[in-house]
Amino acid sequence: MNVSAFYELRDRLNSCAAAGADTAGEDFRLKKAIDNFEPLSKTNKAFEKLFSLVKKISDDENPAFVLADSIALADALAITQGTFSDNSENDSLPEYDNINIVNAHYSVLSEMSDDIRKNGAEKTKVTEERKKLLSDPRIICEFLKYVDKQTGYLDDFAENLYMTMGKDLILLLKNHVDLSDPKASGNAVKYISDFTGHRENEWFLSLAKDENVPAKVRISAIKALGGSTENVPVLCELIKTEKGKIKSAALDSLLTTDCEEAEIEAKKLTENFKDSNASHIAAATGKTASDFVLSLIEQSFDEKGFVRRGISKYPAYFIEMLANKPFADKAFLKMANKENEQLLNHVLLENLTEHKNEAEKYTALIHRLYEKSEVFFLSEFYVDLIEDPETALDKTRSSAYKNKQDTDRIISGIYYNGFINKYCIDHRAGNVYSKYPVTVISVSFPMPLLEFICDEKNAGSFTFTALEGILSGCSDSDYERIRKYAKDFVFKCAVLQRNSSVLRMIENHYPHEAPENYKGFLAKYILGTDMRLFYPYRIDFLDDFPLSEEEKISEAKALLKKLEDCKGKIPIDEQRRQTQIRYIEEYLKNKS
Amino acid sequence: MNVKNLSEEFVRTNAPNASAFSNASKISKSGGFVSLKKTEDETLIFGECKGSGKNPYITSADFSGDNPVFRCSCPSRQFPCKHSLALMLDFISGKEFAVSDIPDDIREKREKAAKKAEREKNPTEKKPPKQNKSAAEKKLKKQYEGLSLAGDFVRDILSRGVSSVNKNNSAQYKNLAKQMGDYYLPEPQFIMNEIIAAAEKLSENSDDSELARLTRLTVKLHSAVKKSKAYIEEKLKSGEVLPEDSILYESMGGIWKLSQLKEIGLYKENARIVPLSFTVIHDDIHKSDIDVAYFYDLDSGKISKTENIRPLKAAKYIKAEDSVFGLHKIKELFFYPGGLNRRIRWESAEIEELSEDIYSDIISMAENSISEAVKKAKNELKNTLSDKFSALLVPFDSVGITEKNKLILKYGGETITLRSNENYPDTCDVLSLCGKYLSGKGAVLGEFSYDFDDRKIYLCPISVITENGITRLC
Repeated sequence: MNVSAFYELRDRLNSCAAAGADTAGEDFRLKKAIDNFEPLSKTNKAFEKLFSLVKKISDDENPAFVLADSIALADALAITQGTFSDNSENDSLPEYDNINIVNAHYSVLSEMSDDIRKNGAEKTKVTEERKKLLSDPRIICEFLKYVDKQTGYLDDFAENLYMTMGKDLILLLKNHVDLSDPKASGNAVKYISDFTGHRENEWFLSLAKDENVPAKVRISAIKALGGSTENVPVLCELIKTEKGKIKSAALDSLLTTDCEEAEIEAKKLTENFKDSNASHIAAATGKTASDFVLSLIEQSFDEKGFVRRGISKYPAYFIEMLANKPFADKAFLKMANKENEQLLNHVLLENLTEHKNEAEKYTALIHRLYEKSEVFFLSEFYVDLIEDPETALDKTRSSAYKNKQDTDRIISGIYYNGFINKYCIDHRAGNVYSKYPVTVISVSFPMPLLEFICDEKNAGSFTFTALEGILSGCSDSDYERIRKYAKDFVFKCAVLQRNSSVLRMIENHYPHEAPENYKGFLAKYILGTDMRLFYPYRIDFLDDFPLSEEEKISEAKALLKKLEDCKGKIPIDEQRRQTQIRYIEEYLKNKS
Repeated sequence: MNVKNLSEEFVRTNAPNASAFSNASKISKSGGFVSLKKTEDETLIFGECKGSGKNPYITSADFSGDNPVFRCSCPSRQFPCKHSLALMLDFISGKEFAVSDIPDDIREKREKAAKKAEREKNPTEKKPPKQNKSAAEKKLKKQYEGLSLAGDFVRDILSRGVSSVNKNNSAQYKNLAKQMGDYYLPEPQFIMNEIIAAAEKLSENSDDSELARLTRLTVKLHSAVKKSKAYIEEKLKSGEVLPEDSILYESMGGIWKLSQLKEIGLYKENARIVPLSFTVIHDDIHKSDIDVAYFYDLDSGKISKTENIRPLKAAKYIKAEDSVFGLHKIKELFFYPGGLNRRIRWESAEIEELSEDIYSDIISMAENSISEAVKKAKNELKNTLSDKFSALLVPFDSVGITEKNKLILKYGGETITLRSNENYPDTCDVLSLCGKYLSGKGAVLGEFSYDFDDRKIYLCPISVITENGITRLC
């Protein structure tokens, strides 16, 4: 039976609800739909009932209610008419050997999924329970969603997922690439390239050559072709025949390959150099590009490193072109000054990510540069940590003290990777925010680094944040050792740093120490060492200390007295003093 | 319950939320208890635990009665607190508990509890709670008044047109919705707020599907008002003003007490139910998280569900449920009025491990065919006041996947498209990875829904039951 007149009527009723039942009488389309429905209404009672209802809409004194009744009935009838069969062609579901459902509790699964969703998989905390979940399809699904969202660099979660699932993960990632979606991201391709190098070259080639493949996927595939001389003819062909981003990706890929064609392309770029070619020069690894950047720098900067008259470019413009140049020592040293420190180190460390398989070349460059200039300390310390974390500071100690905050930051980036039971270094080490490779550095937390962090004489503004990071990210077996070692330092130096990290650390890691440790802490913490920097704080954190109620009140009163004694005597801001007094009084009032 | 039967599953089930369990594990692993004791008959375990206070907390778990009693001197409002959970975890992990006499305070409390239980057993002393008929009648009349106002709301919106509501004129509607609270009509109030929110969203960004949703909500409110008014008129006319087995009581915002459910016969003794799924649904309109679990009744073969609503404002104080796996043996199981998937509740349950033959039993009790399941679901879905999803056990021979990654469930020559819904957004993706778990016959627990746009019924898979076990997809 053809029921299209019914659906037409249902659509008209909904349109009438949108436009208003008061205008139903003038709605000629509704009227026409009702007329068309009339023959159908004679076929069954439900349709007949609907017909008698809809006829009343325009005449009834309450058209809105009749309209609502009509829609309710039409919806119910639509559901009754609903079909369910699906005769699309289909295959049986693939069977993945390395995917295993784990009988895990919802809370455990959702906590891990949330971690992946919110923090990215890069630093998902791994426990014994979580290790088992690595091959669970619910977690793998979350990971696949994450692959689409992020920018496509490897992390320990993904690497370990690959170690656990092997070819199954490659197959999943391949299936995950939606070639019918023009906006599909190329991240899955990037992952496969990172996991397998050139092993999936045929697949990359098929994507790269196919004009119908979504642009981002195709670009990722073209990038994956770089570095292999086998792909040179295809890349040259793409450069000739394609335009825009595809051509640009092919050119970049060719420039990262060690071949004559790449040098010819680099020469063309340098001969007719335009600003728009800078990114290609940056991508190139060959000698032509390296020499060109050096000459450009020499033309633009004088002997002392100052920009020559008439040059309107910022140093960043030149430094970015130094990427991927393992023998550009001269050019790096020419740019080596404090102002360029962050950028130079960024480029050097980024090289380690981009050239994982040729890391030695780029590590050697860092060592050579640090020998000549301390500007390259951040990169040197990072590489030293990877090579031998126990002795890393021996080589760079004086620079490390000079750059205490950055060093603390790098050390706080060391965390325990439960998948492989070893320490790794965070992607975001130091003050140079970039994407670094996950690198295994040791089995237990290196003692010299802990000694450096807990050096009382050199505690800096970031030290407590770093220590909190270490305590939160270390292994269970190391936790007590680190906690005990740092205890004296924490209670002695915490008052120097009035920030939330200090309180968080005490609350999280030292909640059960002897009460003596906490006595007098409040006043020292609030008043600090320099009264000029005094700033009022709420003192509710006192409740987290293992003191009796009387002791807490007495601590608060002692602070109150000190503040009252301070009136007009020291360089303390009166308004701030008053606010602090008010906070303490409020605290005491709550206690009473 | 016997302390010897303590299991991690029991501790987890009793934990107020996942973090309490995780904190308890930390306390247990780090040796938080400075003393661990038990009575000779092993009905009581107790100990002293280091806490953030100066003195250790005195914690105990008493298993002498039908239900375990947890006590702790810590100031936590969570119940049982992490210390009570840690004490049980210590016992399970085999830590040494010294035999000791029962502490005096616990002996006194036990005696008091025994006396109370005795009083409750004695029917002469136990007075049934008095149902206040005149108050119930007064409330119904007030609700009737409120429903008339809600009816005016529907009339006004539909007369002008649902697309005419926008941010500028929604203030008067908001006032009206606010008034519903005075008429004891929280549920209609929620629907009104949902309509206003949807209308405001629509006025900002015109969208056909949003417009259709807004119309459906208005029609739903109209049906609720109409049916509720008829229900109240009938009640007032007959003089039977107390709650009865009808979903309208709850749809007007009534809250059932277990005693009321028992009184009208909505309960069952010695029930045996098997958990099939668990998830947490975020409800934006009610500003709540809802823990939803489906259970299979081994005796009746019906699919029921539990709903634990946790308003975000009070989330800290309400126990968050977690997935459970064992066979639940329940002395008294209560049902809420409803259709296909009745809401169930119980006070205490014994949890046993599932035996393998249970899976075959569940599969054998699935619907006979896909079309039969669809028919049942349609009957439920077409009721304006019922949920927009209906769960059933659907048998399958196999699951296929199309080139565009669409999943198709097949059984006895029939097929149905599988599609995730908003409550279970990823289950199809997960199922597509579970090929190796789908060999042989089985049944899928899934929610049916109707898509008004393409006029099709879809099934959202939630769990897969095969002879080897239950595969949860979320």
